[in-house]
Amino acid sequence: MTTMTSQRRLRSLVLSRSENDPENMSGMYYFIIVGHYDNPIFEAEFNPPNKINEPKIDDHRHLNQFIAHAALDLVDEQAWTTSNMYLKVVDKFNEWFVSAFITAGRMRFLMLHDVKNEDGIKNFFTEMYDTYVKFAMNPFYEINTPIKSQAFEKKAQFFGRKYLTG
Amino acid sequence: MSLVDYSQTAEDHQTLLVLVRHTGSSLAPQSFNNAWDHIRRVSSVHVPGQKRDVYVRYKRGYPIENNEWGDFQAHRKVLGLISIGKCSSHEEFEKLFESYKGVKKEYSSTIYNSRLLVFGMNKDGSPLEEEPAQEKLDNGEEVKDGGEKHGDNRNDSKIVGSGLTDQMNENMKSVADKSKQGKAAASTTAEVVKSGQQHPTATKRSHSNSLTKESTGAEVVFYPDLEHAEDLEERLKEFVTSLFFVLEGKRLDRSFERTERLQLLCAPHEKKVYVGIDTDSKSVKKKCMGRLRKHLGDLCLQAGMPGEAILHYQTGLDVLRNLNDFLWMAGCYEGLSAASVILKYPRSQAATLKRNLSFNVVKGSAINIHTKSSTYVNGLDVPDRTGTGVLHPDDIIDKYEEAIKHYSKFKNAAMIEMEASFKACRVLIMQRKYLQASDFLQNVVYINLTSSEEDKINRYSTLASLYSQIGFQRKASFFKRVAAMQCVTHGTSTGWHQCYYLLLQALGGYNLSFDIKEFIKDHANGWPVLQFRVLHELVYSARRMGNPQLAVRHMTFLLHTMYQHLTEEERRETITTLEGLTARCEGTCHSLALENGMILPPVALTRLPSVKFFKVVAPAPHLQPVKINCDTTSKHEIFIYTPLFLGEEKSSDSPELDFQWVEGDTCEVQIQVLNPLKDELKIQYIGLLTDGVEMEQFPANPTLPPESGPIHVKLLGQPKAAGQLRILGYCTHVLGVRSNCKLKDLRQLGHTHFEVDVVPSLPQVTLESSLPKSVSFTSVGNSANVVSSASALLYAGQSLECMTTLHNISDITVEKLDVALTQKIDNDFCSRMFTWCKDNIKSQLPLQPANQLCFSLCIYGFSDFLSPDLLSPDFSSPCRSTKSTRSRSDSLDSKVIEALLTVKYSGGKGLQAGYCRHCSLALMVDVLPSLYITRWDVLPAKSVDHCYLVFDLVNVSSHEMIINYDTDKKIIIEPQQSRRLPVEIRRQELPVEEKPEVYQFVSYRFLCEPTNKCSQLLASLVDIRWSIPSTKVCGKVGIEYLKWTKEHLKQIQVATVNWEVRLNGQLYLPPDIPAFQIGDLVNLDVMFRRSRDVLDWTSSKLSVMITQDAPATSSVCDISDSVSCLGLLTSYYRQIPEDGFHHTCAFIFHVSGLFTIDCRFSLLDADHVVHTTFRCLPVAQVLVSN
Repeated sequence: MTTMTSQRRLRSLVLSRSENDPENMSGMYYFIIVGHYDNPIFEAEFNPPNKINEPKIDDHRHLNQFIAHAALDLVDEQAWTTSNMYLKVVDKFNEWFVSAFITAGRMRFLMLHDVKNEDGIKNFFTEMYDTYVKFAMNPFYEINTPIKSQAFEKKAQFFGRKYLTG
Repeated sequence: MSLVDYSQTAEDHQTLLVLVRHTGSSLAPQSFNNAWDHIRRVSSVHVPGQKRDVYVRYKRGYPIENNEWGDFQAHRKVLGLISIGKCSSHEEFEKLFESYKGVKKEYSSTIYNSRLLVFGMNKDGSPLEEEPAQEKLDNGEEVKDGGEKHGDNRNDSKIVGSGLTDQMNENMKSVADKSKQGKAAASTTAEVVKSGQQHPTATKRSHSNSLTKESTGAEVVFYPDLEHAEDLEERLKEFVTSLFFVLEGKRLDRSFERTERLQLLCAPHEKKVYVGIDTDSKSVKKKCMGRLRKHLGDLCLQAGMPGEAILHYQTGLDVLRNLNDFLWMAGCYEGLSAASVILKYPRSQAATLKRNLSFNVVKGSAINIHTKSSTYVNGLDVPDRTGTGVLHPDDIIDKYEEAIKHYSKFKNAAMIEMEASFKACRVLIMQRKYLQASDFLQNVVYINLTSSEEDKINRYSTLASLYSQIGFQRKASFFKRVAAMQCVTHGTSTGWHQCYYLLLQALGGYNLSFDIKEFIKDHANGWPVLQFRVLHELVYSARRMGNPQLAVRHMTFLLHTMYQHLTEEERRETITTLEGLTARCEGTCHSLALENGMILPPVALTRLPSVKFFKVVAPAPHLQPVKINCDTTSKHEIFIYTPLFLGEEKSSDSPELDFQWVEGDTCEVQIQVLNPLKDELKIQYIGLLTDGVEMEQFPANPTLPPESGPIHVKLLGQPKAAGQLRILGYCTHVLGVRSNCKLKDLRQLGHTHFEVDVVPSLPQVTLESSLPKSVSFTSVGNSANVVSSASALLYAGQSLECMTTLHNISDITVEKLDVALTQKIDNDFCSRMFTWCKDNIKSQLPLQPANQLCFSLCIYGFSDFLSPDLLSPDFSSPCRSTKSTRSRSDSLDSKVIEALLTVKYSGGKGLQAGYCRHCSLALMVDVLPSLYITRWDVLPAKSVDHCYLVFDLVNVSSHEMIINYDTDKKIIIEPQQSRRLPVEIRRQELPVEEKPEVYQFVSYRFLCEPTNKCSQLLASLVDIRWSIPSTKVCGKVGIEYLKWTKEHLKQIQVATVNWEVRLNGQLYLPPDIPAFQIGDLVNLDVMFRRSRDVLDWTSSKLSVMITQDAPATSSVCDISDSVSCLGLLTSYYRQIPEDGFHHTCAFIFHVSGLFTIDCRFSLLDADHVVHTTFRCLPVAQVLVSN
């Protein structure tokens, strides 16, 4: 199936941001953990080191979230087809690929990325899963509520640098 | 530009495309739509004698560009045309016909047959007459009449133009024998086709020539209107059948097998490529063959022979594969898939034709009412079904993939590719392979097809609806939203409307529901950032659409539901936006209905402000209605405990309220409101939401400071009738939005509603007294209903009168009024202190509105006048006889008496319902001590009948005091001075005490109860008054609390017998002891008298004994040496005279000393034995000296 849908892109979507040079775009990652009620629990963005200082477009993150949300349908559907936690690329929209990972507790890890990096994302997901499980063990943390932890964020950034942008 | 048909399905390959056009301007769009609906129902037609069904697909518009693809896929070809128009005259008809011809010419390249439906004319083509009754009839005569009339018409039209009349003439003929004509039309066209075969150059387009001939035959059909078009269905069937026969003819045309006539079928974009190509080359010939095979497959499919079609497709595929003709290969693949789908999944849903009752079905109608015959719904004969080459369901999808892969190689075939993707998706939905279906849908997004905005909107909407069909709600919402955004990219005003309704459809996927209860759950629900954004877009589009009411509603919803997810800045922004919106259009608290039938329920802003506490307040105690007959003070209920759980526990929906409200009174509900905002919140209105009883509201409009703590707000209202009032919640008007906040939606308050009984109206009075108000008042009993107070300072024994005023301030007459006194101490006690005249009050009733009622209250400074010094049981006190005690707590100098004067009153409707009101006057009386009685005693008076009661009085006031007693006697006592006061009274017959004194140390309370009858009797005999000249007060001393010993009482009591002892004529009065000299003659005269007739006087004796009290010796000794007695010492009587008797004797004392003369009177019985003896007491004593 994937052969069929070659790398053509929908250019005319209202939501798509202004045409950027694909070179300029590469290497961006947007990571999100989604809870049982389609509620976001943790968000993180990883930019390549050379683009960290770029001003962020406001619409940018909203668009990411819309894409991630829409991809949940495919994540849920594909979860039944495999016993793996890592579902690889489940959806794509414009330049974005959506990779997913489902934990045993059915928390959904989504990654929006514009370059293929299957192994890196897999490693990142695995490490984040580890971190998440440890975090969820905290008796003061209630499952399905947003994670507000500097340590968790630092970990995410660390793994992001290690496996994604680094 | 070719248009993508987003609704196409695989089954559409089977259909004949018929264009239905609206012609002319006189036909209303609505009538056209009605006709369209009628026509559309005829979607499948059974061809008589062929055992096949033909399916028709109707289109109202079809671009010529799409028609050009007809060679590539036959179902894209417009085969038939139905124009619908209206005219009322022949001139109009002519115009209509011209326009019809124009359309026909446009599609002439592909059209097999066409019809013009004309409304507004009689069936025979004549204009409608005034009498419509005649037209309806089709009896022989009438028709003839009609015919004559039409004849006239024809004459008229002749004047206009002969060409037209000729045509009309023909038309009318056609109407007359339409069925024949129908067949004839078909046969003629068939003939034309056949003739076309004979002349190869005109093969394909031959029948369009008939247009120019204007021998339209059955082409024009007239109806007065749609209701009278009974045979429309029949006509359509005929029409479709005619199309079928042309098709069938083409299918059976085997001319292609002759190579010299080979024609290369081309897709539109290929035409230029193949211009000037060498048609004789082998590859081109093969290509022609292959493509023709494919085309034949299409025709077979349309003619209802999918099995045969599959064979053609496969042959075509085999030929084309070698030539790498990818586009047509893809066409073959798609055809294969379509044919297989048709065979695999017969359209059973077609059987459920929605039949309209108004649509008469003539018996034997060709509309296929599917029976269990050998024919399937898809028009396929049963044996055909077993035909070879039917693809496996998975292969169908593989073939589609293959086809789409090939299509994608051609930029010009994007439309075909997109439709193929949708078709494949629909097949997958049928097969329930949703994940694969989503892959096809995703492919659609990437197909690069330049198209109009409208087309894009359609595409995204179709994507969304297909996504929702496969259960991908979030994807569906995503594309709905994208479609909505697409609507407004170019800022068209109509776009906002469409955008709004598309956004509404997108809400589901974002877990947004306008029902607050459904939306706000205990757990997180959805993605707040996205919800916020979508709602914002909804607000914006509603505003741009020109419906501010909707914008306000959505904004309110957004503020209410998203509140906790918003940052401080966003909240502020949202509130500002909302205020901006409401400035133009106030938010209501009603449901809003949308055009699509959706209902937007009202949103109550329960967070702004949030209510933490809701309490229905009882009326002030003095205004509370009280049941007249019910004694509220004593509720002795039997308490029975049972472990059984009987019935359902009453939930705390509506708490029990132990009070009632009164009609016409201002009632209050107390709430606590919080402002969670960082800005000041102005509540323009906050009032009660009630039900059951009409209530006048007195709303509040508080302004809450930023991030306020709980602020108390009173919600006031006045019930306008009696009954049960349900308090459902409160209404607010905040930020320009009116909300009805119901308690059942506010779970934190714990109750769904409150129910208050409203009793009928009652009067209301004020209570005042002329005395100064008291500074403080400690509660006595049920003192809550105290409305006023009075205080007085009295000396013990003083009396005071005060005026009490009741003022009726309501507009209801007081008809009933009771005054009662309640007090901490005994009722008896206070009834002595406070007295009033009941009759006086009664005489002033009823009390009219605004009138006053006055009565005087008498207060008496009640006291026992006992000195606190007597409290301790001090037996060594000078007066041993006083054994009164008082508790220490009362040993204060002044005593405070508190009492409540309770007024119960009622009137009007409230009285009839049995209610009244209580109000009380708190009375506080300071009783200062005036005099204390420190000792009291009884002394004999000069006369035997009298005695003296002697009191020692101490002036404990700080003023000089004048005491008046015995009517004319007067003494003055200085402060702290003690004076003895003898009061002479007659000796009394004392009443017998009912119960003996049990308590040695009686309590004060007991003391206060003057149960001692003797004390009371004595008190009534003694009248001691005091007055303080300096303060001009006076009072009375009461002695009813003095206790008298038995000795006292004996002295006071009148004796049974009276003794009178005289010595030498002098009355002996103890304790004086008369003295005599030795040798003196002492005459003793004993007088005995009975004072009461209590004794049985029979024989008796009186004896006198004289003894000497010798201190050294024993009391009794022989005294014959020391005294000589003259006369008898003892005398006997048979009878005693009534007035007593004298006994006289004399003594001469010989020695000095104290002598005792003991007189005794004894009663004797028959045997002269003494049985009762009276002794004269005290015994007389005589001192004898030398």
